[in-house]
Amino acid sequence: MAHDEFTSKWRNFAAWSAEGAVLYVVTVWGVSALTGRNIMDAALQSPWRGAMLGLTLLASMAMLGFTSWKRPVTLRNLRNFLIRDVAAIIACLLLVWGFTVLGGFGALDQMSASEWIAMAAGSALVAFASLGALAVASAGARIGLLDEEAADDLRERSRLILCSLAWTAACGLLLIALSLAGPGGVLPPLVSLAGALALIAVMVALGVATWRLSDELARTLTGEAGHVAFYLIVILGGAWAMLAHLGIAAAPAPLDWLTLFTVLMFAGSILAVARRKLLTR
Amino acid sequence: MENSLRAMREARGWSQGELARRLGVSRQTINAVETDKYDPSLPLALRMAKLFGVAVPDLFIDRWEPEEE
Repeated sequence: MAHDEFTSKWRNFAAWSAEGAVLYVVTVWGVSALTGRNIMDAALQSPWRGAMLGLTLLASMAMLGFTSWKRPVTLRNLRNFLIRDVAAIIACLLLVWGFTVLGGFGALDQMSASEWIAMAAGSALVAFASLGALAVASAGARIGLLDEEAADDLRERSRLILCSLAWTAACGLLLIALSLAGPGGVLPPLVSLAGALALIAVMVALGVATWRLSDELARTLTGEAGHVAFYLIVILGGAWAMLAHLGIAAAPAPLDWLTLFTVLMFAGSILAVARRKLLTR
Repeated sequence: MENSLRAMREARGWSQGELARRLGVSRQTINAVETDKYDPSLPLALRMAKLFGVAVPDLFIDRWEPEEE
């Protein structure tokens, strides 16, 4: 019995990993088509790029395999998986398209590494929030995209989740607004400041609303996420500052600190939820 | 912490959602307590005990014993 279950899990793992590989190739092809650069050819010409492409392919296969190995490969699961992941791929391609458009304006030529990273992190947060909102909408519309229990969870806490997602999107937009306002950027600093202040006001309002809608468990998790994020910032930010002080690395720019705070806050949330084994059912 | 919340809830014929509604928390909180992923606060534990008409130690089982002097 236990042997059958084990075999079935590994069969699911293999099937979902293969799906992950197919979607990864489709994504790379889409990015190649949008940017006009043949990523596969570039990867074949450089061993380092080839290794990176191969490693990210393996990582996407492993991630999909391990997160889905309890899910049998049925027609319904496959359909839901395809719809969800096609939405994620479209979000990814929209991001690439956005970067390409900004590149067309010459906005990216002057951007420093800090601004690039802030913009990429901000875009990822906006994409994550948009996909989350789509998941809540699909649960509300009862179209059977999610399993019943997950859909129930989303429906019951839809206001709380939407407030959190809007807060996440505002965080991402704040990073994007700041990253576009550097020297030679497309946004003048005062416009960026006005946008940043407006976004901070929205984030405060959303933070209060989220806290009021949260129950005991959600508030405990928020507190724990804050603790984890604090120690992550102390360790990573502290190590960076120490290396910069010793002249071994370049000092973090102000925007690096903002990106670090934002990204580690989200990393802290995920770690706090995972530590209580609440990421899996 | 080990607890008998699920048994007591099922004995009353309540769903997780029904118990959550009566206690003023989310269903996720009830699920997390039942599956031993979250220990509730003292006020919530007291409310649970009051709702089921039992003492807190009947609901939450702590096997710790004080050391003998």
